Amino acid sequence: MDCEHLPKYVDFFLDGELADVEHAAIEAHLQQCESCREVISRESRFRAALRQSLRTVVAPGSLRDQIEAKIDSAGKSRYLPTLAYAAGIALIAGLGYAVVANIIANPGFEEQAIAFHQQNEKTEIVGNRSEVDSFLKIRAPFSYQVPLEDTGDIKLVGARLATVGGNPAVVFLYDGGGRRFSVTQYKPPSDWQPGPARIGRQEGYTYATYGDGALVQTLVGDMPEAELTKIVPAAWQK
Amino acid sequence: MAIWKSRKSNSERFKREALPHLDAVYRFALTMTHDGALADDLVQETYMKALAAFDSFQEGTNCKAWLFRILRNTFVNQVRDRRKEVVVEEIPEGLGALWADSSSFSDPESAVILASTRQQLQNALNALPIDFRTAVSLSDIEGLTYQEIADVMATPIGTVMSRLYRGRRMMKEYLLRQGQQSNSQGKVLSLVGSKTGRGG
Repeated sequence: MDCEHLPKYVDFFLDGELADVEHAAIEAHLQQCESCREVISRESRFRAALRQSLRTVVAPGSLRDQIEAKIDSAGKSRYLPTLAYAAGIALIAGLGYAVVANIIANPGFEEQAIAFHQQNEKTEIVGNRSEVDSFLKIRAPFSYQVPLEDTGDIKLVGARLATVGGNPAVVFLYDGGGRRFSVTQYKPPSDWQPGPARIGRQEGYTYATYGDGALVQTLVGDMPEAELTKIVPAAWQK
Repeated sequence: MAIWKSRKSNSERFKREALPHLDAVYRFALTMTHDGALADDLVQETYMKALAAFDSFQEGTNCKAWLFRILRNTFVNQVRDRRKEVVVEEIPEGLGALWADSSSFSDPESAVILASTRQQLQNALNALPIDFRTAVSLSDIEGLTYQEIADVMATPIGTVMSRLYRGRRMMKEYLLRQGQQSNSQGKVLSLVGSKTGRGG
């Protein structure tokens, strides 16, 4: 890789679309070349500005409620379509909502942690460990513990407050060698059984849930399982 | 009650998989329609279609990309039904020449671009022809891969790459002109990046 060819690869490089070997060749060149580093840095700042600015738009709460209600009533009216038409959609939809609301269990903690992970733009404090800590000390309504210590590869970069299963939670944001991952920390549910980290994949994300009787955390990232497992503290690895 | 249970668990699973993407789906609907009320309707229709087709969704694949594909198809069909213009491929006047220029912007130009406000960035994205703003928003805002964008837009991956390249350049050109106009009028721009003015 050289300065003449690099501009053609800037987009692919930043979009993560290069093969490992090509990506490594560009990184090697960037280590030696300040002007190419500057080209990459400008482009990457533009992308970051675009993402940070335009991801702040969120769906209105009323839209979410309408869609949830429609999903519930659709489930019911599909079960009894003939009766629904005969008896009137409104009656059945009303009944269906009451019954379904009763039966549906709380969504899993991992799903919530993944949802928080995706809401990057809602970060309330952006800063290093001590800045995050002083923000949370005043505001967190439970005794949180910063879940991972900063290392050469892992750095705390932000946090926000949230709720998991009706209990307060803190979402910690980390940078791991240029990749973002999050750790949502919360009080364990009553039936929580401490054991090795529970690792899985959902919605294109990898997660690991671990913790003792006092605090549980769910780590979420878009890295492969093996890489995510390495971040889990040794005590919770198999 | 086996059927009842499977219906219930189906909509339960759908909620778990699809609802966390609501913000992203809504943003994409706004990108397509530029109108809050139309976006609301489009999102509702998308979720109802997705629920009906949920059996065809493959677990472990990207649910967000799947919802985007349904949304875009719904939107394109709606517009087609109303016999309006669907796909605008032409590049706005004066911007087409940029395609030939493969070098990046100079440092001072980049400083102007990076000083854009949130509203200016939004305007620049909105000013792109629909297929270009779709590609840029799916990549730069929602983080989809080229292959996922190609699937959403039903186009070859090469087309996605050229739309991204041209879309990003058009946005920067737009922001550069806006920034230069504002500067020449003596307005103070708020800074998006923290290190916008440094020399290379």
